[in-house]
Amino acid sequence: MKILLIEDEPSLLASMQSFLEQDGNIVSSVATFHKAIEKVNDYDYDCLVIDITLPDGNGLEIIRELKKRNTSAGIIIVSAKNSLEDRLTGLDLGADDYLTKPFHLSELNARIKSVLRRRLFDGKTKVVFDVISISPDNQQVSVKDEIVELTGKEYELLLFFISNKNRILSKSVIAEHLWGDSMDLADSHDFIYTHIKNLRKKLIEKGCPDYVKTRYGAGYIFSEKL
Amino acid sequence: MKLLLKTALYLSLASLPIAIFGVLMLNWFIHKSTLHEIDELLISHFKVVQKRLNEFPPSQFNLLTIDDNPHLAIIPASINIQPYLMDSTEIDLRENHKTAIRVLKGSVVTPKHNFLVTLKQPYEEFEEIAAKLSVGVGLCFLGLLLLMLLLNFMVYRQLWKPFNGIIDKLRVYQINKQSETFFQPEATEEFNLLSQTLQLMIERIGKQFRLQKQFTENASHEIQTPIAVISLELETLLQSDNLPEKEILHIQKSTEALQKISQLNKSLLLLTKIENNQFSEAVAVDMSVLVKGLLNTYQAFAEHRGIVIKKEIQDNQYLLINPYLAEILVGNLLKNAIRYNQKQGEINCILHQNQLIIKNKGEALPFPVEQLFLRFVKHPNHPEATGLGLAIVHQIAEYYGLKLSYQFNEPENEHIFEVKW
Repeated sequence: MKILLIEDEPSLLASMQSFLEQDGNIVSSVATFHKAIEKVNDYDYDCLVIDITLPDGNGLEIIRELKKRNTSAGIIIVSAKNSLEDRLTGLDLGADDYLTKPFHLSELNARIKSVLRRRLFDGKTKVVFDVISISPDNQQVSVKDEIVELTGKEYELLLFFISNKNRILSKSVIAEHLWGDSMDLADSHDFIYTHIKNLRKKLIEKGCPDYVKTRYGAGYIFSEKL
Repeated sequence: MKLLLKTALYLSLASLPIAIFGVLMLNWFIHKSTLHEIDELLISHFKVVQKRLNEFPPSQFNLLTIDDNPHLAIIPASINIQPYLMDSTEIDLRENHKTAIRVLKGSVVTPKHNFLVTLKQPYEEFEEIAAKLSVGVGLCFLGLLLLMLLLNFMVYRQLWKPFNGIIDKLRVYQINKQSETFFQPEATEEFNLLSQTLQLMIERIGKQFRLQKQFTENASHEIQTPIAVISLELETLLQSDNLPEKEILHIQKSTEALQKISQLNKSLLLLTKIENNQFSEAVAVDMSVLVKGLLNTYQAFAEHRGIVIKKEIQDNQYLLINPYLAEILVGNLLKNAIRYNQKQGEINCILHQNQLIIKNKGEALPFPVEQLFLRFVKHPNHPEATGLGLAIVHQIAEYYGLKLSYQFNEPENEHIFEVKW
């Protein structure tokens, strides 16, 4: 996938770029509004990650520019302001998602993938991981063509794992993905453990290998490698 | 006590002794003058009597005058009494009781006899005049005082009108909703001075306030980016291959601490924003829908903790509030009820008649109740909490004028939070 990152903080840009490249994406990055407009005019991207507050312009203008050219690219806004107005304006203009700084790379990754699924395949394509197959349009999960009944949170958890396969996902990252601000960090650790345990159990019951590995106290890895 | 009443009181207190003293002094002065005049009269009378006795000395047997004044008596020639004055009493035939009289006694030597002359002059009537005069003057004084007080009462309202106007303005003054000239110039010099000084003061305070507000906002926003950088760097580091377990744990701990900073920062920014009235759009939020939704969100988490949620929710309970803040208000209360619940506890969530009640079982507060809604007051068993949840609830309630109260039902070990609107 071709992704353009527009962000004025160089170290954020570098981290995001290297993280996304590891997944095999082709990632370009710019740090200013004007360069971003140039890039948008010259190339087509599948997804753009746009910081609203740029030194020489407002990121929302880039979205307007993109919408003028009827692009099908997915747009994710990143902002240091957790402001409702910005969020609403951004989504009104046609952005697909909104992330508040600080965010996790795995969260950004999952959001990009979700946006791309919706944008490029209308959610019709299946997400396949080894023997697991997920249809995002009806949230159905099957293992070796046998349907697995998952709760909403378990489904989100599985999708998040698969979006970030082979990466360590700490409990706090998972908690934030599943509950956002509504759950405080400290409350959620053993709660997450229960969810993961249940998900594992349901998958193994259907004859699925145990993909979830615990990485010491740090978190979990979802991986086919044993 | 009102300034007016105080003035009246002081005026009365000061004038009462003056009135009493004045009346007594006046009385005494009139008394003295009367006596003096009477004495002069008696002395002249005595002179007349002396003259008459010398010119026409009465016979020994014809001493009695019709009113016995002067009273004449013959005394031996050897006794010579210089005229002297004295006070005495005498029965007044009209009023039939003793009245004060002034008496002059003295001997008059004539060639024939030596007479003792006694002259009397009742002066009680003069004393009565004196008393009446004094009382009259006293009454006039009191009348004047009353008139002054009355005038004071009438003028007071008019004079202090600008002052009351300034007070009314001060009462509604809000630092964040300030127009350019809040206090207008006044016609009375003193009030004008007050008004202009206040205007200067609020301008200075307003400027400070705006600077501080700007600082808080800028600081919070600027902090977000470095936090984001550290967070991403740590996450990248965590993904490196072959990290030893110990290092992973260090990264994990740093990440968690960082998330706490970020959460604190967000909460403080939220508090600042509420304080600064930056949540303007209030809409009629159906609290029953909101509460049901939030209960749903936390249902699984409560179950996980073995907590039973009981709910009694009346439909169509509307509250005029910013929807985002409404969610935080109810969410924080529910989170609290779950977090500080006892094992296998229970939560009672009641919403009816513009009132939200959330009850949960649990031990009594480890700190005084007054501190419950203060910032950074935490339960000692939960050091990981930010200590801002209830402070935010309080701030939101205050902003929208909701009545937020807390009670602990001791026999039931039950914490009760109530929000009324």
